[in-house]
Amino acid sequence: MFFLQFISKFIKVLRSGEAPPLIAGGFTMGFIVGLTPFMTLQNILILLVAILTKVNLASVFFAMFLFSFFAYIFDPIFHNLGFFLLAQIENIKPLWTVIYNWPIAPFTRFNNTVVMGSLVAALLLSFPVYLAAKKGIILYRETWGEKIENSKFVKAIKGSALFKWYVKIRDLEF
Amino acid sequence: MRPKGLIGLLVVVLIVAGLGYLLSDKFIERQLESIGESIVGAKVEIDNLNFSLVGLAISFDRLQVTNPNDTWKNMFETGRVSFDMEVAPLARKKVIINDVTIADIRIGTKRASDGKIERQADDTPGWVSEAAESLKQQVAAAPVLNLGILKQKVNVDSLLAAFDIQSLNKIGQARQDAAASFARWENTVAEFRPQNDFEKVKQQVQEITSQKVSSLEQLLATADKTKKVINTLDKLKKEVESLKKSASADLGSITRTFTQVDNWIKDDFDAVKSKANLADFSAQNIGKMLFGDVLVAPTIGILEYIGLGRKYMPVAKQLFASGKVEKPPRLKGQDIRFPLLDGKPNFLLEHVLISAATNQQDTSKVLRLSGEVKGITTEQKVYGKPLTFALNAALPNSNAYEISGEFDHTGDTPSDRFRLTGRGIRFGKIDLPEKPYLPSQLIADRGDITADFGLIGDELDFKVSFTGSPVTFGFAQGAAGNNVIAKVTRSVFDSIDKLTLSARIHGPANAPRLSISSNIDDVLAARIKGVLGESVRLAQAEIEKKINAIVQPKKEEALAFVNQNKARLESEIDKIESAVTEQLDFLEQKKKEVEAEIAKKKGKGLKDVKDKLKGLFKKN
Repeated sequence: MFFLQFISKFIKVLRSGEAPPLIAGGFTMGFIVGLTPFMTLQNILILLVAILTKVNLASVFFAMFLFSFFAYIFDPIFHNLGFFLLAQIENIKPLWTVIYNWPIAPFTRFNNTVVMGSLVAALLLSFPVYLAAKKGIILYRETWGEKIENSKFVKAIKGSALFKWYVKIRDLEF
Repeated sequence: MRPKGLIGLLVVVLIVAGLGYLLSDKFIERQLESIGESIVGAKVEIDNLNFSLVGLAISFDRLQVTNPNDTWKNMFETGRVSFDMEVAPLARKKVIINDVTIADIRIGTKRASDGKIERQADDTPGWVSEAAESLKQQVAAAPVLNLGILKQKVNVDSLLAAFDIQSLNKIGQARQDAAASFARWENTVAEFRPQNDFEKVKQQVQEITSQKVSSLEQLLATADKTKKVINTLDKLKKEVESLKKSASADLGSITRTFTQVDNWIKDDFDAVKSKANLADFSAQNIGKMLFGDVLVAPTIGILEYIGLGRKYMPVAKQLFASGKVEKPPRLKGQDIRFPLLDGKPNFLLEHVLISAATNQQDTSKVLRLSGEVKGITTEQKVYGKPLTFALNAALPNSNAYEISGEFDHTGDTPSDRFRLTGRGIRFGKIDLPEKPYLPSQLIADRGDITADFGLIGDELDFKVSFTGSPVTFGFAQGAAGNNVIAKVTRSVFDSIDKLTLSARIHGPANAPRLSISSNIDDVLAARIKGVLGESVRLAQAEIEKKINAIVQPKKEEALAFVNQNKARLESEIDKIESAVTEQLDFLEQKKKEVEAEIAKKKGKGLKDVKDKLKGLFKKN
């Protein structure tokens, strides 16, 4: 139910009149938080920003939920990337040492291989993800939404009992 | 801006902070208990822990630490204890406590409930178990007095026929292991095949030697080529050195195994003697027979605690091991450590002041403890100082024991030492393990004791000396009987007024040797030997001769095999090494010649060449 609630809200958001940059921004924030281990200072700050600004919260939580699965799948790659960045590049070790000595460093957990690997990956991908999400929302509203609604497949689905059940859930007011 | 979001966030923060404050006491209490239990191996209970955010002070009403060997008793319990923690290090999950005073310690108190816990796995390090086993075996191998010794006749051949000579099996196994090791090294050396590289290098050297160098361009080309060949050879040399080092370590370990052969033979000899009830009543063995158990039990206890200390206070190389964890648990990763400028370890109890009297019902047994412990930390390398302690412990109407020591794990080799001294101590009754014909109690009115313990790396040296005067020995009622052995032992112990005892446990930590001697040994050994007569000695000599006749040829054959193979392998590796060195020397010479030539040309004014040549001969 929890997941369906997310999907329902997210689809509502996609079809609503909310500005695409706000939805894409929320989605990107959720992407970063979802891809990295949750309990870090940077994630708390991102969520704080999400709560305090007008980015779409449903898209934040949907992306968090979605990308936490990706985080699990890509964990070994993040570990390798993090180890490489933290332990194998001699030139940036002095920088890590300086950051490690900052009082807030322990809360960021930057010296953890998975945190570092996933954060770097998430930051590198955040801009493309933002652009793709924004483009995707516009495309959905302009073309895909209508096409999908009118497709034979969707019409067939709409007639099914499962879809009616889905509609009930989608239209629930939480 | 979303004002509702801000209000919601504040509410969440307040709820979390409130719950955290309410649950922090229980949480910290359980965490501390859990850490203690993992160290002690039995229940550790803290009563009414109170954590105050103001000044980060912690206090508790009582701490009970269960005795893991008797879980219905506490090893010790304390009264109220309070201390402050440093605030800033907590952000890094570091617990830094500067001063603690413990003023009310009670030892051996009864528990209201069983303090046993199910342990996940045995925490005792392997070397401690091995040492305990070795020491117990040495005491068990000490002779036992019985009347049967006087009556038996020994048929050595039938005795040996029914005995499985362990040293033969061990030599066979060691030879097999050595053969496997040699085969492995032969393969490694064969696969190493630097010949191909050599051929290439030789060809390049040939080209360098035969090349006519007349122009500057040719000179530069020659210099470049020489540099490349030197680099190749350097790499090859490093590989050879690494190969030689590993081989030397492995072959050395084979040799060390074979130095144990004489001990294996001796063990067999002792086992056969024991089977034939022909125990060796030498002065050395009398000491083990009388006082072996009394010394071994506390030694094992000490080693167990030292083992725990080494586990929880790792040395530098263990602490800063930064190898990659190949498969950490999913989403957990691996924390990489960087040098900290504040140099605070993860846990530090800088100074513990102990001033206490054990609260015994029997006031004659109240032990007064005082002293201090400095530098209890999990990371000595970070703290930079060893753990040191100096304690005094005294019973009523007695002088005090002085105990001081140092557990130094700041370097790569752990060094654990302590010294206990006591002059004019009132020992009273000391229980001895019950053995036929031997006393079950030693009563020493006053005595001096010194114990020096040192475990440096894996090398143990523990010396104990004791002098008691006047002493008397008590026998269990009805235990002695009235036969000849009983009369002999009684008369010896009755004549002893002063006991001097010295013991040493030394050697590799996992297989230390125990030796005990006392002023009783010679007297008792002489009297017992007198009673047992010549026949036992002859039988022992025959057993020794026959075991040697069986085992020695196998030993010599195995040693010859090992020495021959070892010499062959070492010679092969040396050959490779000297060939590489020879080529390197030649090329170094060639390099110097080219450098000289270049310098000459530079002197002639070829300044532009100087820049080109800069760094050319720098090694990669």
